Amino acid sequence: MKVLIAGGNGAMGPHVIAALRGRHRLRVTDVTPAPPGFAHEYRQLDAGDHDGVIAAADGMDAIVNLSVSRADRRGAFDVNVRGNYNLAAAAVRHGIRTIVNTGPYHQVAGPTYDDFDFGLHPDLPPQPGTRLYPLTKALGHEVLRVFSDRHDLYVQTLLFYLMRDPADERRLDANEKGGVGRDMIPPYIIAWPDTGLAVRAALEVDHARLPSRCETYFVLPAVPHGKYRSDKLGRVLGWEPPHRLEQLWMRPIDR
Amino acid sequence: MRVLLSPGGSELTQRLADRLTGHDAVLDADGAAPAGFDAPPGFDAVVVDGLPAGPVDPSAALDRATRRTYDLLRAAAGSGVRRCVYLSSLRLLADYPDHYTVTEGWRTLPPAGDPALLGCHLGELIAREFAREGRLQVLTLRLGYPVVPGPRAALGGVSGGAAVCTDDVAAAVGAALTAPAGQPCTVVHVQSPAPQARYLMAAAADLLGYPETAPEGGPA
Repeated sequence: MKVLIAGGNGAMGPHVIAALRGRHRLRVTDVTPAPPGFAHEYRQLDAGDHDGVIAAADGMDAIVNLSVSRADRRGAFDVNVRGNYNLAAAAVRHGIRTIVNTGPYHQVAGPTYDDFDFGLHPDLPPQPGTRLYPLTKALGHEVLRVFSDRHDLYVQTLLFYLMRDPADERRLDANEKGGVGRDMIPPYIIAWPDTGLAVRAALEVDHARLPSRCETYFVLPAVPHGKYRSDKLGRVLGWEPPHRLEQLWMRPIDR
Repeated sequence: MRVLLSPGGSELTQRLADRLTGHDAVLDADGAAPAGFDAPPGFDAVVVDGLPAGPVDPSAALDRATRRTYDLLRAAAGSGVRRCVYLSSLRLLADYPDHYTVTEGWRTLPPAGDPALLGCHLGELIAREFAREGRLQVLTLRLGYPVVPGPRAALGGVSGGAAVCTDDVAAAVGAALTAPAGQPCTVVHVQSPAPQARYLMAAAADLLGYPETAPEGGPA
């Protein structure tokens, strides 16, 4: 397939590109200039640029959206909401039937779920709360859902939170100051390389396997605390993260 | 009650400013979001006109409906405003077949091809999250279509349909500002009373006492 990757020069982009390299022809866009020696077609483009996004999607078969703005008040709406609208409009304009979108899990399971409940799953009615980042990502997802409801467009949204290099030794001191435990308890975590593999699994899944034209996944390995359910990855995509929790989040024990 | 009407430049909020008797209604001066998250001081309630505002480009329509609404509600909640009346549109339910009696509990069907109306839907969702967190008490008034300036006589006495006149909008908004809403977020359908009215208005009757007088043989 010819795949447009929007926001491909961020933290996740290299892992997605590595997972798709050699299997698909890539056109990458990002608001930043191309990295030196970049090996794929590249366009410097703001996701909020309606006409630019429409043009960038011309000739593509699928769109992967990695673009994000977290803290900037205007940028969050420009990128996370209008950017999604632009990508959906571009897909409809060019007859593209596949969008793989990304975001944080709390765009679905915001504090009104996360502070209270267990067994949280990606098909809950979204309760993102009023924080800028999850709310704008939830609004962007709603835009894609509406487009998938009205057009022959398959939208899959992969929801992440913490990412770790599985070789990072900090995983051994999760309870120490400066360890990974500072981020969040309980962990919703995945290895960086697995983010790219998740995008690949969603991109390449047969649409006939999908329960609907709009599907959402919590992307993390199985977790013993039972707070988040990721079993849909295996059930629908036939894929599970190769790196397990034990490789990302453990404390040392003297035996 | 001191009420901020936003955006101040909309035809509907300007009419509301004239018709909201018993309240100190102030038009949002510049019709734009407050700079940063500066709070508008001294208001008890805010009325947000989230209705599609004429033909504009998709980016402007979505920005008006989302970022502007978010900024305003965040500022309002931060300054102690307790109530938000968000004006939405019954057009979000227009795609249900005519033979259904559509209630306030039905899921909206926003269109993909109308970014202004899609934005109106997104604005509803933003207001709902402020309500869910207890930061504002939200009444979402989904107004009939078209919105006709003036009194009920301006509607021409037609039966069926979903039209609403601005005098009725003002009556409903005025009641919504002080209605004892028991829920953090309440959806209310508001169209002018007419025989065979398109939408059920049970919440309007129960919560707002709207309309004050039902037409003979028509729904209350």
